[in-house]
Amino acid sequence: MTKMQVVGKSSFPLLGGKGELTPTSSELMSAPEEEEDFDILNDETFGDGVDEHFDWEEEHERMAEELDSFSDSRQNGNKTKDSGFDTAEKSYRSQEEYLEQSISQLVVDDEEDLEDPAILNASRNRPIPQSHKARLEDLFGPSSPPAFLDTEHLVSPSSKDIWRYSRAEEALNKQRNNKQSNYKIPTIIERRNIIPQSPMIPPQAHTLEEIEKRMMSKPRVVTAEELERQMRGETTPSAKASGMMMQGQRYTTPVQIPPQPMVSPLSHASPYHRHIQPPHGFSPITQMYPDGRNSPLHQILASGRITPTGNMSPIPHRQSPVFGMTSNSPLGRSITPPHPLRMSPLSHSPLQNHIMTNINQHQSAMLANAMTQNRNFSNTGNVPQARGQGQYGSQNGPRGNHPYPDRYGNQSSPVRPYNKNHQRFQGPSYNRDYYYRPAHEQPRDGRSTDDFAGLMTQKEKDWIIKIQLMQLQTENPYIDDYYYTNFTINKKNKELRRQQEVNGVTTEEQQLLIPHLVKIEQKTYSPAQFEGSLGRLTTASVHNPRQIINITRRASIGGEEGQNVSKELRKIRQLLMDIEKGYNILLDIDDLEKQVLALTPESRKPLNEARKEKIVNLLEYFTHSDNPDNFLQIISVRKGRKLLSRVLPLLDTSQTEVLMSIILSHLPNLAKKDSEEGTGQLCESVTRAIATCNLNMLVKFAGQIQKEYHEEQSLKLVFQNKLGSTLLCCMLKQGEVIYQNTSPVDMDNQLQTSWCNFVEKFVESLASVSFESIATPICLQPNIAKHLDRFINKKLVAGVEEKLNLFTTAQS
Amino acid sequence: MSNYLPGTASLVEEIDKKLLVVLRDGRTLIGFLRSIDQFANLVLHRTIERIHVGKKYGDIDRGIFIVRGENVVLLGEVDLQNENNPSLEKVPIDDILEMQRAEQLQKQQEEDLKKKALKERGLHPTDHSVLDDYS
Repeated sequence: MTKMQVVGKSSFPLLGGKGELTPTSSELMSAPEEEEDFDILNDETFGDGVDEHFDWEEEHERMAEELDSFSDSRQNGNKTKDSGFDTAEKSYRSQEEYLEQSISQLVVDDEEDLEDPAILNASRNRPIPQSHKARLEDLFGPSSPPAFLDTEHLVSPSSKDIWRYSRAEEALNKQRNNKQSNYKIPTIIERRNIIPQSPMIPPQAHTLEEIEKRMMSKPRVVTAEELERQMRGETTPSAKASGMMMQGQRYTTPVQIPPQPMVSPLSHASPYHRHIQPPHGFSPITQMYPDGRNSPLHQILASGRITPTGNMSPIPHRQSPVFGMTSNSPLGRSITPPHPLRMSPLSHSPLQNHIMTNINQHQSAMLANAMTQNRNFSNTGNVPQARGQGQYGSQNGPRGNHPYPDRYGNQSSPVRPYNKNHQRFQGPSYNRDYYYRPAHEQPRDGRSTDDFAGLMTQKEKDWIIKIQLMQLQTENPYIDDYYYTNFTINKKNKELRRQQEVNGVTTEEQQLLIPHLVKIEQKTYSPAQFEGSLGRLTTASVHNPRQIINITRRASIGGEEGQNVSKELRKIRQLLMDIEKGYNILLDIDDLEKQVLALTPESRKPLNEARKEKIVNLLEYFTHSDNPDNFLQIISVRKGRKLLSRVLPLLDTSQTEVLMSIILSHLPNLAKKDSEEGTGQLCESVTRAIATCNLNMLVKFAGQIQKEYHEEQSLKLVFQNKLGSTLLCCMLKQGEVIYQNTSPVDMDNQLQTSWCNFVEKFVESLASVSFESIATPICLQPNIAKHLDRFINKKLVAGVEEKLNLFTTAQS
Repeated sequence: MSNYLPGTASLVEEIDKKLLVVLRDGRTLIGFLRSIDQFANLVLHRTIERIHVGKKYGDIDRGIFIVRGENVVLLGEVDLQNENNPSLEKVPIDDILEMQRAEQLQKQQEEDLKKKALKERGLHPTDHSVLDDYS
């Protein structure tokens, strides 16, 4: 066995270090091993040319400096030829430093609570200066699977990484009369790119720009990240309407629902957009400080720490909480809550590659709203229990202003002016809120003060809420939370309709716009490979777990059911399957309709085409000419009837005609099913369909009905079922409409005669039917009488007047 | 449903309230919720563990509890006004522990009988005492 070469200063013998060698260990080290000349430190393993003067530790340090000096991480791409091992160690080291840094920041953080603006400018503790700069990006950056979407950076509420604003910022905002400061809580993506660095580090403008570029050029990465982040819940940028809030409409769902059609949001887009362009307000900040004092700011930006350090003192009134200050942002968040709600960056289809950022903006909007609401809310919640100090005061003003002492018993005075503004926008709903929660008031009666209340600071609460909100984010609310989405939209629309009645203003009914994002290619994740590493390192993480068992589904062995299944049964099953397929097509049509909402007219075309095609498919299914029994079979199934009623509204005029004639030709059968499920809906659709008819069609339908009941020579039976009477009434009503709207000259004489005949028949049959057996139509048509008067003489009409009333007026 | 978390619930509203928490192992804790985190880990202050046996109950003072979120079955706000339920009788701790022991003993005996019966009929008895998702 070759002699062991002991190099380096490490104490680990295996690494070639001398260390504290005991006699036994040295013996062991030099002892030959059992395996055939296996020498773990031989040249094959460690490469040739190991000279005595090679100090790997020195080399290591040099490399560390080298790496740190890289300002452009993109260029980096592992310039060093070392294996991942070295960099891993380095980052481990730097993580320690990172930890140290965060701990040191912790200290500073607490002092943050001293909100007095007067002392804001006072210099605070400096964080412990670090000599090593952390370059976590390579191994823990966005492309690294373990860190993919890690909430590691949300480690603690006191970590400055999370917060880009603080109450100090609020105060500053107030001072600067900046009503539109927004609480921009940067997304995780953004945060990940921020490398904690010491304040000593020279500005890294490149890094930031490069980060921006990277973010903008890799929307997919971002998107996928967002997707992965979702455990599913939430409606994103959209989704959750908080219409049911106690505080009324004040903070209606931040996002989703644009009250205006596509066009107008675009007009809002530009000013908003301008500020989005440089993601998350990096540039605006640089713009704001043209006095050349960029470096400390950049440091702060880079480090993601808001801590005002000693370096910041030269910039007195513009302290760290600077991020949110996009002064012209129309997203006046907390102060003007209604605003962001109107914004719908989601509808900015041109900005598709920025949609993600837009969504994030809105998330932040939502979060910001949430925070501020929570602040108010917790004011109310905490106060009764915590304070019982008689500071309760009256409902409005003092309440919101109630400064809640935080952990250090300090009154957060800057909050007060801020909250005051809040008050103005609360209005009556705020009062409602007050009364709504009597439960909280009780503890204050005669109870001792809860000394331990308020242990959890508002910030921490906001942090939790923020996490929860983020968990609710989703890009496709219709998929993730269909029922809640529909529920909130319906609620909103109901509200709108109600308001319309009150105001008389017609606003378009809201529909959830989902931005058509760049098609997310769900590539199968291929784990990152490290250059020069020995073997493949495991890169499995929570989001990309390792596949352990590969199970593929064998093609289902169909038809093996055997001939035991009778033909009948198979037929029935086939029928049901076909109806199901019909429903699937309906769902597809629905999806297409939703997708078109968010697109430009051009891009809508293919979708509309697809939609039409599907409708035709459906129609064909019903009108199978080869098998006349087909329709009958479908109708016999409840689901089939429902399918029919859902398809009918989708058709255009000619298609409607076709389908209606088919329906009418089967009217007797349908009449029989009157009592069963599904026909009610059919009535409705039929009503709607008839309302679109012209006289030609009406006559045609009339003819068909009469044909069906040819034997009886009367429409008696038709009246006796709901569908029938609904049909007849609708037809007459439509007839009246047509007669009113068209001059006699335009109408075809022949049609008129046929129609006249039909009406006569109608009255005749009505006369012959007994009063009790008439089924009431689903909706009343008061104009029928008028119509009848056109054709029929008074006497006859008088004869049936009583029965007519069934159709025309509401019966008590 | 709170206004800032549309469509869902949050424990943030429950902070500083007196809550009753039922844990997965069947324990009942009553305390003031002081702090939470995203996993619903709870910090309970002035906690008492309340043991119920029949109509009687006994309290054990526990001080500050930190409960891991996954072990919480449910939690509910204690109505401070009607807290002292007239229908339940408070007994000293030792007594209630004694009663609890007796109750558990009895349950155990019943379980054993059942197990035996199952075995005799050839059915494999499963252990229901451990409420575990994975077994």
